[in-house]
Amino acid sequence: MSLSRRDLLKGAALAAATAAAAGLPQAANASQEAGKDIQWNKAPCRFCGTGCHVQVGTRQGKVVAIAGDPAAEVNRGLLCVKGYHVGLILYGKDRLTTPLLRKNGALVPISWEQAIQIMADRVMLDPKGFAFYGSGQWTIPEGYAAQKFMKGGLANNHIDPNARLCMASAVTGFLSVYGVDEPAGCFDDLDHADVVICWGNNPAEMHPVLFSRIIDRRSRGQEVTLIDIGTRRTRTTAMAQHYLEMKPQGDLALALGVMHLLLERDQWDQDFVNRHCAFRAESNPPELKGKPISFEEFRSQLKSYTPERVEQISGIRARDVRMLADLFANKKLKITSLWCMGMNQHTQGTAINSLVHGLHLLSGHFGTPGNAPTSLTGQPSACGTVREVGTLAHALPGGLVVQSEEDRKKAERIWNLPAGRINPVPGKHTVAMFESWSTPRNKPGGEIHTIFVQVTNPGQTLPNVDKLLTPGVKDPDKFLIVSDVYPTATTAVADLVLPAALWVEKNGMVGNSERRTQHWFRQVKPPGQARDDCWQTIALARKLYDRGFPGMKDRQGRFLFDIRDSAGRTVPIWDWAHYYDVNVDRHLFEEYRKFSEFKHKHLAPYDEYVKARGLRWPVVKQKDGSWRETRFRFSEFDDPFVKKGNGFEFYHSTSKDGRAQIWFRPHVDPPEIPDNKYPLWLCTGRVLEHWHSGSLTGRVPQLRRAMPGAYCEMNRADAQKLGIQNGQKVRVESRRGAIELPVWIDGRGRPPEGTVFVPFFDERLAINRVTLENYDPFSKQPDYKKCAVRVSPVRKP
Amino acid sequence: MQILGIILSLSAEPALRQQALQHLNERADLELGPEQAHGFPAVLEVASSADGRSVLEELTACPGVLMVSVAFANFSDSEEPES
Repeated sequence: MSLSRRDLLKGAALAAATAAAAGLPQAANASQEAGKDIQWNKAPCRFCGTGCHVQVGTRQGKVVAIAGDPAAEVNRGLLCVKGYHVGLILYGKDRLTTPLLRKNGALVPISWEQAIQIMADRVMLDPKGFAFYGSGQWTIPEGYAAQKFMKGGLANNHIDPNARLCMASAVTGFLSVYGVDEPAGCFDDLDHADVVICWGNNPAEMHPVLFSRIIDRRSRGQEVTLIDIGTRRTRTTAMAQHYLEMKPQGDLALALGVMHLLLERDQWDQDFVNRHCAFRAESNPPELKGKPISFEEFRSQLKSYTPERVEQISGIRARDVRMLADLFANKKLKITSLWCMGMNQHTQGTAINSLVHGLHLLSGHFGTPGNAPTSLTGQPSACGTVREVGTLAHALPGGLVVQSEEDRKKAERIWNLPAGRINPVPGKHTVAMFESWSTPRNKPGGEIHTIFVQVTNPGQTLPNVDKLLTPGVKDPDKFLIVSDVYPTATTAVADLVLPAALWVEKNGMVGNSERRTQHWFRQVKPPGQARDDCWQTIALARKLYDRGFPGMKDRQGRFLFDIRDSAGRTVPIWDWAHYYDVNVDRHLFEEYRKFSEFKHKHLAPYDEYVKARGLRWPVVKQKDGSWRETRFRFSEFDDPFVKKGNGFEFYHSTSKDGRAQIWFRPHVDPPEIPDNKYPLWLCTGRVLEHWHSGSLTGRVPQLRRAMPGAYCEMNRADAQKLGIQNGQKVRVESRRGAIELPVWIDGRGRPPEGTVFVPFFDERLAINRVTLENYDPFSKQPDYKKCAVRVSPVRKP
Repeated sequence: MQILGIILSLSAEPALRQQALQHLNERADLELGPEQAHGFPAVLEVASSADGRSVLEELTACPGVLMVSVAFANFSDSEEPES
């Protein structure tokens, strides 16, 4: 590096940091000063659901620099350790660059034409048994294309995303409380809250840029009380004023106990509740919407949740239950609750989600800046692609569902399909899909013969993976197609592997945790023959169309993905050479956008997102022609769909009267509890350096070196009892499987006595051979946070 | 050689803040800019991109430093990623 270039880079680095530290959203693009040879463009970060915007610096067809985008409201120029390494995820040496077919046990290169033909053959074998397993990392157009292909084309509804494993309980929580999905509040709440409560959530490591908003306020002398409720000490705990350590699944009792105290002390917000809320409890048989109950019934059911009983159930001291109740009773305080996997990966996930919403509603800590119950997502488009596009097995775009005849008609109208094309029966959710795939075809329930996996790694992330995946791998009648960018635990067992384009190698749109839809353009080309996932789906659809498959035709017999150029001529987008002749994303998004108005999730035209660093829906056109986003849903002061004078309005209310539902749901024990044979709790999760299964971050040397392998966090007392030394290899074993890995005592996270923690990023040490596949009855989301294990030292032979 | 533009959030407690500032100003690999509304901007220059991560961890662990965020990173001279 020459001195002048070094000085230039230093100047650019200081300017970018100064702009971000000054909070100048429209500051001159400091990064552009770094040299004329670097071209800068915007893109949202590829990793978590925070949705930070980065400026991507490219030179000679390669990403060479990353800067935080000071114009982005989400991150205001800041990035976390994963975010500033995001450019390097493109350049691992082992990128997949050609389609591969398994022959005699080995993967051998084939052409794309062969690959698409093989996929079409698998569909034609039995279209009802072809499933699509997607992702919260799908871009919105990718997910929309897959959704239309499956529900409008194959009409079997067997499409589900990996987000089923990470935020499905948040969805059912929102639906059961508000009648419609996704948070009412947004990240702005963190700038206003006096109290932030993390419910089984570790944002210091999992959403560091969001967490920095809280820390920044403290640094400026503002008082922000941080309360960490968890089953193990983390970096978030280190920053918290209060750490409420609970027994696994103690959260239900805690929320019930606080609500009980609010009622007993007459400190609930009677005005808000009387005007805007109704009460609900579980029905028999259990249904997501439950049954209405009276306030008196609600009060009566809460009565047994005294602080002392809550302490007994949850392990949280009675005085801390009272402390929380005091905070919620104080109307002057603004309280924001945050949660992520701790409340979602939970066999009572819907219940705890609805209870935390209820706590905010009952206390009136809702709907004004700083007062919000807000779930966070771990993937860049778990909200945008999964929840909004509706790539879940029961859903249609825009919050519609396949069970509703009216909703199916709406979708058939927009997709121009013959009436009755869409199947009214929900498809198989993730666990059921893989259970079916791992069941022989001649046995009941074994109808799924092929799964097409895009942008996810179920071979590492499914719970109890030896039960859900391995039998299908061994069954010659079953076929696994995997599109990915690198070899993974899933490509290792796939029959057909497709090389995919990644992040800025393609156009994209995603939706973050605060309803913000974001956009970027392709900036570099993918390596070798790697191609967009969206193209793969369209190419498969076209192959089926060419073979006369009726589902790939619309009402007039045209191709399901017929995209025309400005002269009205069909562009052969199924031919890769022509895929970028038009902006396929724009066409798909503009069609998808029509769905967004059914449930007040209005989206702006594509071009508005090109100009913005994301817009939060509903985005509504103003009289002057501009488009206005909504920060606070259901609140009259900001939400255009709330009638003037109502204050608040839950316009998709389950009770059809504009009210939100405050639920009573009882404490229920976890499905597996430690016993004499398996005496320890196991919790699994993520680490700061690696993102999910580590297939991307594992290719970044800086991150890999910083966190090279999985480990078992263990309490010192437990280790001493078992004669285990720090760093010693141990065997972690459940009723389902076992792995061996080193122990970390007093490490980054500190579990209490009786609990161990293992991260899931390490493909070589796959903890999901040990985890439990039990799931929430409504969300069908498995619980990765608690099961029973035993730990023993591995003796050297 | 890697150059990072970073933002340091320091404790509001005066003694801790002073301690942190003294330490940061003494570091040869760090060039601290004037305090802004949301923290201290700085340029961090490390021998290799592999060192950047550990130095950030080191900075985060300094008494009085609450958080370190990154605003700019250059990879043009970075080593090749691993498979």
